[in-house]
Amino acid sequence: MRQRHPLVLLSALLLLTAFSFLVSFSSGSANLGISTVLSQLFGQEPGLQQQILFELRIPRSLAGFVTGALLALSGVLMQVLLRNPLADPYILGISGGAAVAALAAILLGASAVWISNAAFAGALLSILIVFGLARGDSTWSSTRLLLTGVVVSAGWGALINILLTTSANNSVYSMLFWLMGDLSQSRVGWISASILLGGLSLMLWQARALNVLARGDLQAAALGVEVSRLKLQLYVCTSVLTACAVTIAGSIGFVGLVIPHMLRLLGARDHRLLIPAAVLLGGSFLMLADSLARSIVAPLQLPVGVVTAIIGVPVFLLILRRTRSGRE
Amino acid sequence: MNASPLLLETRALRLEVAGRVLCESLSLQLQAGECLGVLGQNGTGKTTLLHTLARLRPAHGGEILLQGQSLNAWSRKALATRVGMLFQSSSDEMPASVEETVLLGRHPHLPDWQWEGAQDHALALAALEDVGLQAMAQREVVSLSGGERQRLALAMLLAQQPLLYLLDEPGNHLDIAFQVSTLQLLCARLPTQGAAVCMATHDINLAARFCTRILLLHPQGEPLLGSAQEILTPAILSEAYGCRIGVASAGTRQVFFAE
Repeated sequence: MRQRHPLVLLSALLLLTAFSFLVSFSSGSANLGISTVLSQLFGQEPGLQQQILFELRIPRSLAGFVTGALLALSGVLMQVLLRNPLADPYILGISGGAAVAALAAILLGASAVWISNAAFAGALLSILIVFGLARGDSTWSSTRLLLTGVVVSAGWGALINILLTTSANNSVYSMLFWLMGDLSQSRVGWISASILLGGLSLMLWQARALNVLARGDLQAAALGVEVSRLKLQLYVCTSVLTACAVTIAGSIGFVGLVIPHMLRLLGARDHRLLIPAAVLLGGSFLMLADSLARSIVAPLQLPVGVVTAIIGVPVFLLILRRTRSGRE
Repeated sequence: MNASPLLLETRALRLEVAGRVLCESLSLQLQAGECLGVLGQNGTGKTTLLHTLARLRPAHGGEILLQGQSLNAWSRKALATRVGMLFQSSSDEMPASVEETVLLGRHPHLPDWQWEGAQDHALALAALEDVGLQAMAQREVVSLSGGERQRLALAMLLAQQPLLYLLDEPGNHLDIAFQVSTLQLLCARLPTQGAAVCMATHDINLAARFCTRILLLHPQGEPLLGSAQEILTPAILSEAYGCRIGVASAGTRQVFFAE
């Protein structure tokens, strides 16, 4: 079982990723068929199609892939950190902090760049608050971390509602788009790509220790894992990945929750396999969802967070049913 | 008495839980091949002692030496290749198969970035056979019964191949046949592995059957350490447990019971 699965699953996911990129390049208001995309990618005839592809589609697809990958990886890590399969990247209030800062920036009429910067600063602030409050006696209890995060998150939720109810109509529209998660303004640079690669490498290195940590803190320590150090790495890593994702695209839901579960159901419970698989599947899933978001009601665009939720909710409920019947 | 190497030594060890002193000054030595039983009422610090010996919590005074070297001087990973622990309970929130779980026992022996090799798989399989779970290797941990999970935890410990086996209530959830057969299997291997067992239990009869020496913890006062014959007497046990404990002979064995 273990010898067959890893390569089969990873190769299938690599193919899916390549396919998703092609679909994502070709979908949108202007119809570029896959053959057009391929001839533009490899032939490069100057013109409007090339401009659309290289200036709009490719940057947006990359943003979608990186964001989805960040969220799915962060979800995997958050679930081990809290030893709770229902945890998602936003559970510790990182997206709440980012949202409050981003909404405040929108209210002040800031430009897109400053909204992103504000979101990142808000996420960092939230990370520091939860870290400071939850650390307590340096034992890093998962329950304490979870409770602190959930409470801080609720606080941000209240602030978000205050901002929404006291703002003018036109800014509320932008705020809602931000809150639902939207890739239309998103671009990724070297920073987000490096954060993704850095987090991926660090956690691949620790992947076997994560398998042990999933069995509980004491058991992990008895099997030679430096639990406090590993949990600190996990916390910092998952926080920075999430902060980076919400900075790119707002708070897109369900990717961080559903992708790790889908993969576990496909047999990838070993973190050495789960971590790279989550990056590929998370990235592909968000690109495909974004392709749908900009083509089902074209030329209008839906916020991609709505599409991920519409796909994510039934898939997640189905998974939950299947796992429950599997246990009985 | 013999030339067995000294595996573990505590010098004037002081244990506290939440400000309450469990023992002031415990000095004990454990040699390879020995099986030490830790007995005592609820809350006298059996688990605390085992966790302290595994460096899962700090001692409040005194010193612990493993193979002559201070416990704190070992790296966590090197320590785990020598000291292994069977816990009273396990967390099974995250999905895993029986085989994946037992392989975790090999973690401290493997360098970073390295996958389990053929030898690790062989050891894991042998450990599953030892506890009678070989047919369930592909099962999900959550689908196991309490006793099967306890046997799985034991298999993980066997795959870890430590020198010091710290067992916290090894008989938990196990039927009487498995209680005896697993401890028999473990104790039979101690001399060849150069290993020792330290087990905390509520089952005086289990301790009487397998332990060469007994550490009896008292709710007040200092613990008693001695050979099984010295400590396991109705008078001493009755005082330590605060209830009258009788003994009956059954063939060559003695059976303890609360009156």
